[in-house]
Amino acid sequence: MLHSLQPLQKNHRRSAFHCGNAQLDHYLKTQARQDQARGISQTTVLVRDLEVYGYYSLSNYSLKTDLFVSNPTLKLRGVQYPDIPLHLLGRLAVDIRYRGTGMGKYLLQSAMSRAYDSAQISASVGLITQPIDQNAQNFYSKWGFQPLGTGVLWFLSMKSIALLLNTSHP
Amino acid sequence: MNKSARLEIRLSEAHKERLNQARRLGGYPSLSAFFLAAAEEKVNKILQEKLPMLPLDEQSVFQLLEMIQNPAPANEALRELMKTDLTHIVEKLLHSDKDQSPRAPFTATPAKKPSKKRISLR
Repeated sequence: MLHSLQPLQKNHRRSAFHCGNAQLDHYLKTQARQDQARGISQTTVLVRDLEVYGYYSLSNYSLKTDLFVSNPTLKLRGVQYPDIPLHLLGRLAVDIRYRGTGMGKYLLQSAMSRAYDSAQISASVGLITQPIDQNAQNFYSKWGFQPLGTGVLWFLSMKSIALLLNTSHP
Repeated sequence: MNKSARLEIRLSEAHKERLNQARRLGGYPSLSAFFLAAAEEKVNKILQEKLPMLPLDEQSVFQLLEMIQNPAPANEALRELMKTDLTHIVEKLLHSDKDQSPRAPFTATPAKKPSKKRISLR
């Protein structure tokens, strides 16, 4: 059976998943399905024979600007709404045995192209992510994500993704 | 319709006079207006610090707007990534794993049917 990217399901085997970060392992094993059931975030898993080898989770998200909209400079720059719509790439992890093999890239590619597709129906200015450690920061930075402010959040504009997908995506 | 709410504060005469002095100097028409303006500042500060998932300060919002309005062209790595079909590479990786996998072989278990328990209300 070939591998595939699927929405996380109950019968996907997650107990052996180990990515090297306890929080990310824990999320997949205990929280992801609940979040999915509640409509908080959607987890896509890379599976083969129902075994999970990697995953990412996406949600709609908004950054609040309403604390700042009274600022005249922001008004000048066209900020009229209290929220900026985004996609949150909440988590992305690969089983530790496949670190450095390209599987993370594969998941990111999928996440970006699906966020882009979704933004054609429900608008979003880009992907935002909260790298969990320095490794994750290096990973996102490599693909052009840029830190905002103190570097808790990293951002990649949907336009950057769109230009690529419009011209080169199969 | 917005129902208006009332707030009463107990304080000493001296304290009230001090607040009134600041209110007059600050050009606020009433103590209520003064209180609300002062509280709003505090509210914004606290919300900004404490609201989960709102780690952006004003500067970061500007930065974000700049990135949205003038998005950086995708870098070479990203260009390359979006052109590459990684499906076969991943398949190969997982296939070779399957051959040598120390994990227990997969045995198919049929998905459980959702239970249809009924709760009697009697």
